[in-house]
Amino acid sequence: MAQPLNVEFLNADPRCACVLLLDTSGSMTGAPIKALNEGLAAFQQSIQEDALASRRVEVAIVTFGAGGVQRIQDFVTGGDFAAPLLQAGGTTPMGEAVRVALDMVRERKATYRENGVLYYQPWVVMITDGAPTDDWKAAAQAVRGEEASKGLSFFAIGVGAANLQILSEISVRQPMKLDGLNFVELFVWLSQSQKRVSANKVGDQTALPAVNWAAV
Amino acid sequence: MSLPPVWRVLAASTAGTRHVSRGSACQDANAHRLLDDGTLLIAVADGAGSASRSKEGAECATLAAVEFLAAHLAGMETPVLETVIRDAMSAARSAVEALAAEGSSLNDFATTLLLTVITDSLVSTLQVGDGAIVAQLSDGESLDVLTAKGDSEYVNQTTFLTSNGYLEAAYFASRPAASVRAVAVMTDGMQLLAVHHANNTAFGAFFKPMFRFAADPTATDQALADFLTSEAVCRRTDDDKTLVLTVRQ
Repeated sequence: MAQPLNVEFLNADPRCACVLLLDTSGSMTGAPIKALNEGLAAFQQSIQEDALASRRVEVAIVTFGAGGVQRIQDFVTGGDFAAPLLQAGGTTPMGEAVRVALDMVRERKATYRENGVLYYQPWVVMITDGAPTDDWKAAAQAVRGEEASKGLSFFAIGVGAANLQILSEISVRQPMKLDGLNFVELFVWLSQSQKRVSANKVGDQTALPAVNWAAV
Repeated sequence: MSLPPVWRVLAASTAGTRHVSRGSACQDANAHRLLDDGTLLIAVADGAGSASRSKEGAECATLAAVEFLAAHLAGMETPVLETVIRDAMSAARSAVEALAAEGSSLNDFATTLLLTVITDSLVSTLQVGDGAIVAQLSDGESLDVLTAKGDSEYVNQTTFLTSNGYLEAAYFASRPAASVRAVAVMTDGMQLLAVHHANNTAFGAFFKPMFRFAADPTATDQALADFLTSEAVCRRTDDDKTLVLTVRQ
């Protein structure tokens, strides 16, 4: 019986960009930053358990706090992602951090288009335990503009004493409050969501996994 | 006395590993028919994973389109293929609407649809949604993509047979039959691995051995299905996959 032999394939994984926008300000010192780092390690492990997500999910990290706004990690595929060990300190320049994250998403999509790479709608996931110490109104406007043109999906997650009122002015989606320091649950949920998005077939509206990390 | 079939057809639709792992069925469907005059009809559909009854939508659309084409092409002296094939897509839409009539939403049956008609004079195709139709030309080398690449920004967006304006969005192509040696019709699961997205050109190292396989008289639908569910393919995509191959005998 004949078989299709010596068939070669294109290496054409669609990409799913995800920017983690993380508050590393002084108030995160101690247990919170430790829990955040554990969450990032769990995210790495969970993504890397999935061969497809390892190739398709692209992770970038922007921090705001210690050292101001920092592009800690430029976009890297899930398989090559190594969770950093973040340190806390400084103020909360959230507005600038949001602008940096939006620019990174726009640049990444331009790179995809230049290279004929298929892609999913990118995600920006911001996690903060405070309130911005810089001008955030223009950043909020920019997020809302991107959401309106379906340029990305923006998620805001508050920890501890986070100012959820301001988060709700930045994020179109209702901000969620993390239950205690359940960062591991949050990041496992995030990795599961990214696996679903990146394995999503054409035309699908992805149903995200149930949230098990939020305070009710 | 009927003429011997000129076109040999191999067809398979297989569930992706994601669907297998969730215990759900393959939402792709395909149908084909060889008419007495040697005209070949092929319909391929990809039901949306997010739509609860898209498998029914895909099966209904492919069967309705082939039925319509068979009924309307038989005995026609010089059919205006574009008109008939567009009417067949409308007939498929009407059939899916009829399915949805009893209290459920048309969107529950969301599916793409790729139609191919090969007469003794023309190879004509009509596409709504993603997926690809690739012709191998009579030199046995050159490949010609008869479908358009999607114009949506994101890979998980497309137009469906169940979308508003589906007929206006549908892409028609036609080539002289004499210039075509073989045709492959596929859903996006295979398209991703075989058609360059950047410039919508076919990947020769995929299609050449695939058409060689299709031309082998010992090739079977089962061997094609085994290929679609092979580790080499499933490592690269977890989507449902359909491939229909036809080669001039």
